[in-house]
Amino acid sequence: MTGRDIPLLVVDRLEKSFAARSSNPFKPSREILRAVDGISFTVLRGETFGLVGESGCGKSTAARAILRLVEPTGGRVTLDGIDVASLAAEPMRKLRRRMQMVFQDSTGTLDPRMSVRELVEEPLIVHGIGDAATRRAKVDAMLELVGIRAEFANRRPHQFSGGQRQRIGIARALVLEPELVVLDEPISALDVSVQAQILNLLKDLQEKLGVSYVFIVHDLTVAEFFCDRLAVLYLGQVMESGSAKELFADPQHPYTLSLLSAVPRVGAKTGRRTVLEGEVSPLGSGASKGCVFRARCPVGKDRAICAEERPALRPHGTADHTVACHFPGELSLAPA
Amino acid sequence: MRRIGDDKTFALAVLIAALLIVGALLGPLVWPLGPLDMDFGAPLAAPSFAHPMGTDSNGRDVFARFLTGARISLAVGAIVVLAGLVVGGAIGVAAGIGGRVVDTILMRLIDALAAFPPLILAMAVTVGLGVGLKTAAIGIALSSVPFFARLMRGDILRIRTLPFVEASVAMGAKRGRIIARHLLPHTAPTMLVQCASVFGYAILTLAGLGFIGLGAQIPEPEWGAMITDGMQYALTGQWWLALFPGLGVLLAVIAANLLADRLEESLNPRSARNQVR
Repeated sequence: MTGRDIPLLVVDRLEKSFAARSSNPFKPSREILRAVDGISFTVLRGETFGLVGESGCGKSTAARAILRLVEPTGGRVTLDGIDVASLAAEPMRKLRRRMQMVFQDSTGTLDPRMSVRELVEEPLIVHGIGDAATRRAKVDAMLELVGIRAEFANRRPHQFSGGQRQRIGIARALVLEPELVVLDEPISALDVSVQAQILNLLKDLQEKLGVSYVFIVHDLTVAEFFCDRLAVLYLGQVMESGSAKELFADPQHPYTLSLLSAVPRVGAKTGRRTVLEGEVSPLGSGASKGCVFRARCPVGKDRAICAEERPALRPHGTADHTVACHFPGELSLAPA
Repeated sequence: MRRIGDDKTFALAVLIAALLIVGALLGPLVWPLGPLDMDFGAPLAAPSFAHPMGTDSNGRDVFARFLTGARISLAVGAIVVLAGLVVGGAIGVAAGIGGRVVDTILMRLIDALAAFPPLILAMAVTVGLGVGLKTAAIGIALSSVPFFARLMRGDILRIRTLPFVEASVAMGAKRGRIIARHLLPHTAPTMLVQCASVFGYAILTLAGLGFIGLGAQIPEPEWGAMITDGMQYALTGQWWLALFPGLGVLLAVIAANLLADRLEESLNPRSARNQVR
């Protein structure tokens, strides 16, 4: 029997880099873009692990590398002890039954030529589950679970609203009863009013089915509400990780802090805002040295050690809370 | 979007196509005179009630020959389209999903094939295999392969980057299923247009080969060969010999091209103009 505290997913120093395109065809570029640069985390059974960061920080690439929709260039991903990256095509295909994905773009990821019933039944057919009658029953049950009425099952995706389409996407992922579902910004394309419904649906389904989520998100308030634990990413590296509660109450990394200070909070006194300048951009060829965040860091911009040495992820306080900063906690959320 | 049924040009094209198809299928069964039946009592008779399109130098009824000619043209058109679609389509799919090496090899082969003007290629094949109707059809089918292969490759390359294809991979679908269920159905509009267009090309080229004597041979009631036969009498006043098969070719090709055009507009409003002209 597998206990709740045994990790379902172990991501160990995961890397994915792309060769940067060169504009000169006779002089191929040697620059390498490290989209995911040594991310490690574990996800327990039944929990939600969040990957948080600005756009361009490598969240989605990390999600795709975990599911091997892109081939990782380094590190290991193990699902329930199975080394995902080393599997051959057919075992990998079969393993996908246990690890599914919900996409941000529910419009594009549902084949417009298929009906809702076909779309939700397809995963079952693909993995050879049940006969036609069993599959039909499963599809009906799943549609009911996500709140799509059975009489609409013969309609095509474009006849639904964005929120309903995302429900269909969720039904497609969960009908296989996977152990892990990667949610790639599942609500960021939706209206605010619908976002809450979908989040609640995902939570309910997690309680009913015991599935683990890896939740890719850029919205910190959503992350706080939805995730048990999370990791804050910057340029493909983990800046800080820990339980959501602790990370939001006691952020240590200047980047986490800057992100949090940008979140409007009802009832809070207007505290000092740490305004980040510029945007996420790779540092170029010298990036292998020093802290990736230093160019925009209010703490370490001019400090020698930040330019010289890449800070390791070190535990802070409780065992689960780790920070990659030479000067953790120097910046604080408290109003000056 | 304009509805397809409201379009007068489209209606005309459908009417012509329907008339030709019905004529080709039923005409030879209903019309009492055979395409090769000779009536030496009435050579080179002008169009009349008994011979609506007149007779030729051997007294054969031109209308009967016209109907059988329609049958030949439409049959060859259909065969060429089918063969070109299957062979060219398969090459296009393989090139589109097979990765760089496969793509390069296949498309350079297609380039080599397409380097010949289509008519010249069809002529070469026909002469190489022995002049006749069947070899002409083979030659035309071969020359149509690049049209389908290139278009199919481009469409597959476009569709395979669409998000639902990645979603199928994530779901765990096998490659064959992804191709059959998620790629090919989406090429249908483009391919349908190409089929109509190549159909017209096939009829025109078949008539062209027949006309220069490399396709069907003269007693055979093929439109191109009939035009050649009738040409000698054009100056002596027996205009019906070449005119009617000529009209047949003209109408069939116009109908096919109009259908292709209108289908393209209604199915795929943003796509570029047809490949075959």
